[in-house]
Formats: sequence, C-alpha cells, structure tokens
Amino acid sequence: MSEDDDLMAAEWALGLLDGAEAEAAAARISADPALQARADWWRGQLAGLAEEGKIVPREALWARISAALPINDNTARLAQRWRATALAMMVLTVGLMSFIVLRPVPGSGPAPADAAQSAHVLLASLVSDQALSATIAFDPAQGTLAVAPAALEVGAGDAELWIIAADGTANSLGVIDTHTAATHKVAPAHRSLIAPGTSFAITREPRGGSPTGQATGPIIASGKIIAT
Amino acid sequence: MNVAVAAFPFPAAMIASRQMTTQTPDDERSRLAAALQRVANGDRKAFHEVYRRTSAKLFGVCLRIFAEREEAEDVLQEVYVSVWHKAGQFDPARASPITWLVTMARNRAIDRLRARGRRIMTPLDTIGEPADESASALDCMIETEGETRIEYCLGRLSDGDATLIRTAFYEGATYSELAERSRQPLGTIKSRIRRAFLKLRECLG
Repeated sequence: MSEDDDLMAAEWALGLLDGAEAEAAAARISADPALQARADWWRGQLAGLAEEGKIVPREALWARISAALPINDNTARLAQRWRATALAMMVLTVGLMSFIVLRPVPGSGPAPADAAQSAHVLLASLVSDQALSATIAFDPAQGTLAVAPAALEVGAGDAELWIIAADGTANSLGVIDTHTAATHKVAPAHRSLIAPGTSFAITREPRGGSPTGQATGPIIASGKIIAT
Repeated sequence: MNVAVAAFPFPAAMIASRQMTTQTPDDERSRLAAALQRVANGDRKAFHEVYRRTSAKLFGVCLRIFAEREEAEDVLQEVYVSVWHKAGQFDPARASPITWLVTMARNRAIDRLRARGRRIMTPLDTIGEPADESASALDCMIETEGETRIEYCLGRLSDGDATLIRTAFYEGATYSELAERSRQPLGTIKSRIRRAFLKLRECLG
C-alpha cells in the first residue's frame, strides 16, 4: 500500500474530502478490500476519541429510547418466560373465560362446551422492560377481552390498550384498569384484528384516553398474541 | 486536550468517571459484540446492556456536535433506535462494536447538522501556532492511565494539528471548511493534516 493510498483511506475515514474527491475516494475504497481495511483501521483508531468526553445521559433518556422502539416481537426470551407462567395463567384465564361465557345464561351449557370455547382463546402476555405487565385473553366467539394487570404503572394518566394491526397501525381498544382484572367488549370492527401474530400494546395517555385516537404517550408494555 | 471538555456547559462532576473495572478491552469488546448480536434477534435486555455500556461515550460525541443538551439527546435517541434496527448489520470482522457505534453516532449527528443547513463556522484561531516540534519526547512518553492510544498520540502532535483532527472528527469539518475556519490556504491545511496522519500512524503502530 502506497503512502498516498493510506492517507486517502485516513482522509476518507475522517470525512475530510468533499465533492469529486470524496466520490473518487469512495469508488476506489469500495472496490479495494485492502483500502477498505485501512479505512476501517483509521476509523477504529479515531473512534477512541469518544473516550475523552464521556457524559452520562439523564436517566429519563433510556425510558424515551425504550418507548421509541417498535412493538417487541417478544421472541425467544419471552417464550421462556411464557412457559414458566403459562400454566398459572391458563388456569386463571380459562377460569375467567368460563365465567364470562356462563354468566349470561347461568346454568345452561354443559362443561365440555366451555372447554371447547376456551381452546380458541387467544392469549398475550405483555411485558415492559423489566417484567410481566399484564396478561390478556381474547375470546373471539364472544368478542370479549379479559385483561389481568400484573405490574402496570402509568403514573398520572390512564393506560390505553391498542391492537397493532399487521400493517403497524394502532387501534384503540379503550382505557384499561391498571389494578383490577376486567373484561371488555371489543367493537366488532376491531375483533378481526386480534389474531395470532399481531400485538397488543399499552401506552400512557392523558386521563380518559388519547384525545386524538392515535397513541400519544410512551409504550408501557407490549406483547404478541399467540393462539392457545 | 481537556479544553473542549471544560467548555461543556455542565459541571465537571457530570462527566463520567472512567469505569473502575478489571475488564480488559478484549472482554469488553467481545461482550459488546455478543450483546449486539442478541439485539439483532430482538433482545431488549441485550439492548439495554449495549446502552448502559456505551451511552456515555456516544452522548459525549453528540454533545460535542450539538452543544444543546436537548438536541444532543434527540440525536442520541435516533442513534440507539437505529442501533436497534441495524444491529444485524454489525460486522465484527470489520470493526469493533464501539467503533461501529461511535461511527453511527457521529454520522447521524453530522447528517442532522447538515440537513438543517447548519455549519459550525467558529473560527479556529489556535491552529495557526507554529508546530511545537521541541515538545519533550520524554514528557510524552508516559501514557496517562485510562487514556486511549489515539488521545496519547494526538497529544504528541502540535496543538494546532491535534485541533484540526479533533475538529474534523467532532464537527464533521472537511478540508475546505477547516481552511475557511482557520483562514489558511487549503493546500496548507491538507499537507498539515496529511503530515499529522503519518505521525499518528507511526505512533499508533
């Protein structure tokens, strides 16, 4: 490697060139692995400068960044957590669903029918950064949503539940109670959105829910829906 | 060398102290690389780890470029959100994790500066000083503890040359901007920086 070429790699790594010179350097470096390696070397050395002015950002910034991430896919890590809590939750939600199914016509319908209903319930466990925040069960047959909050803190505001459609749009399912388990009737138009693979999200909104119909606050928790 | 740090509008206490750990740089590097790989798989906990280990460095870079804390925070947020999306593009064979992250922060901040049609045009007055070639080599032989190699090697250049390189790094200044700001001919600036690169290369080894 000639000295001139190495200097060009350094100039490129530091971004000193502009206009035609920058274009020419970019073309040469992208075509030449040896030059690319030298530019990488220079970039690596210069990055050491970031050591000299370290400043810890405010705590609140992490929360902001965390909330700015897209809905969590909750893949492997959540699956593990799921397995650990699934049994307990199943007992809870199946119990809850049977209750909902039975209540309108007490005494009707034999027990095996309830079991069949429960088999189609869709479940999601919503997690925040640290912990399980809520468990949600949707019964498509009834169009009802059972929300069991675990650790759900929204501070001064209300927690609003959203269903995130496949195209990423969020549709409000209403404000939820953050302390007590409750069931909600889902508007018929939104029922088809609640399907395996889509996600629930909970955001912090002003009292009474988002005034705009769009999520305005940070995401408190989110989780993917799975079929049982 | 500490002038730029002292110029920040924050009390010195806010400047992160160097971590007192017994980890070697190699440990740190492989831990970060592993964490980035997990981030690529959508692991939020790993993402938090990457943030904890690197945000002070990246925030320092952002603050050099945007002196306003709020704007620097906005940039830092953009940087980490794009780290979340692009972690899969990190290639450990080409760069260390911290180089990749710093490059991302620097590029993002400089892009934002330019997108707003803003250029830092503060005159570079100090670089006109004659190069102090007589600086005692012995004085410079001992690396201050915690100092990175590049800091040490920049310390061995003349103050003016080190300022030119820092200004290019932190403010994204090109040759022509450096010439304008220092009111020196473009050719002079180019040859000064190229000579400085050769000294750095020798020092960095």
